[in-house]
Amino acid sequence: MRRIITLVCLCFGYTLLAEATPAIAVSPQILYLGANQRAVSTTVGNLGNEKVSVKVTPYRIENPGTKKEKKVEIKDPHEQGIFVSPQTLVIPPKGERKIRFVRLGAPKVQEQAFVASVVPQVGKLKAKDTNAIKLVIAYGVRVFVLPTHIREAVVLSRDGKQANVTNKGNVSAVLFDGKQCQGKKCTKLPSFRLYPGQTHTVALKASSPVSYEVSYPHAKVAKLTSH
Amino acid sequence: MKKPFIVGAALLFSAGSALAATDGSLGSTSQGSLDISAQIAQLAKITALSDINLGIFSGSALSGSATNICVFSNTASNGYSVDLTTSTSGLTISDGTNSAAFTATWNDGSGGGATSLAYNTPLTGQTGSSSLTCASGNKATFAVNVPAANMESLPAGSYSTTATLEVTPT
Repeated sequence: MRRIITLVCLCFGYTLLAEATPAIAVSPQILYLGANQRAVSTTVGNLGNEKVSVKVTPYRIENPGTKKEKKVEIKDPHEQGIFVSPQTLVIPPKGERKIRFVRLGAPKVQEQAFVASVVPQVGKLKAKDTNAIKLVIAYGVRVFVLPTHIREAVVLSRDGKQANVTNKGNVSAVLFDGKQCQGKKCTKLPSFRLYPGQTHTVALKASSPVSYEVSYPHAKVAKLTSH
Repeated sequence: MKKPFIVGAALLFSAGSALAATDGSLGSTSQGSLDISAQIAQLAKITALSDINLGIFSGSALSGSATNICVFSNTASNGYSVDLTTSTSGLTISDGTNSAAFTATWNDGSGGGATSLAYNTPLTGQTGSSSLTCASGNKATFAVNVPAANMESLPAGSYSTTATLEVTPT
């Protein structure tokens, strides 16, 4: 009897949760707004067969790249130096719409990091005969407003079984393809984005040189190797 | 006949610069050329996400999960952050009047285990797959738990929320 009740409940749940969930794609999701550029844009595509409404919310990122990273909604575009438009999109089936990120004011001496949440809207969910969580996929678009004079200066050092990577420049960089090799045996090291002024410490398994590839804005790549 | 193809290729591949096609010369054989360029933008994409049916409360905690979630990221690091929000107040399921708090975790599948998700706070340092189908592994799991203590004092009803998982490439 219990099995039958459980089955009935699951069937009710399935009926409820099988309502169409809008599916979107966003590309590109990392944008660099150069000092000589006024605006950049990204494209939102509707992958479904029904019209979808999308809400766009811009945020300033506080403490980027740390465990204290926090999104603060931008209420005053002029104060924050970036304007995002439109903030509501209605996209036809299989259609596309663009979102523009416009720089307001002069570039700063250091890169500014923003993120825009691109969220498909769904109707209010009402569960019947079960408890449920409907999942919706949304995408964030990172926007980096670059300074006039870019300084790319990520340095790598090693102290025993600890590697320290410090960004002494004024733009963020992505460290990837990190490895520590002992002879032909290599251990892969974690990848991460390092924001200006930050130091990231990587625990190592051995006391031997480490190496990383560094990707700066505009896909410029450099290689770092410690002693 | 060549012009429509060039136009089509330009549209298909969204070439960012002017195409430099050359016509072939008149003869028994002729060879022309055209440039084709494609740009791959940095992006992340989630697939295989399923809704979570928590079932009926019968005195024990309610729990459920969405497993085998594929998070593709083609950035240099394959990294991303994930951010959880809901249509209700904070991390809660609600019948419209009453609500019960739940906890949520995210496991990116890279071997580091599950990490708690806080409401509207990006969980950074996650690693996605470089394969659109996650053929190489790194399938993520989103799990929720509603403690029994949060449900036992609530009136009978159906409790739900719409949870939005936002993925942002590193």
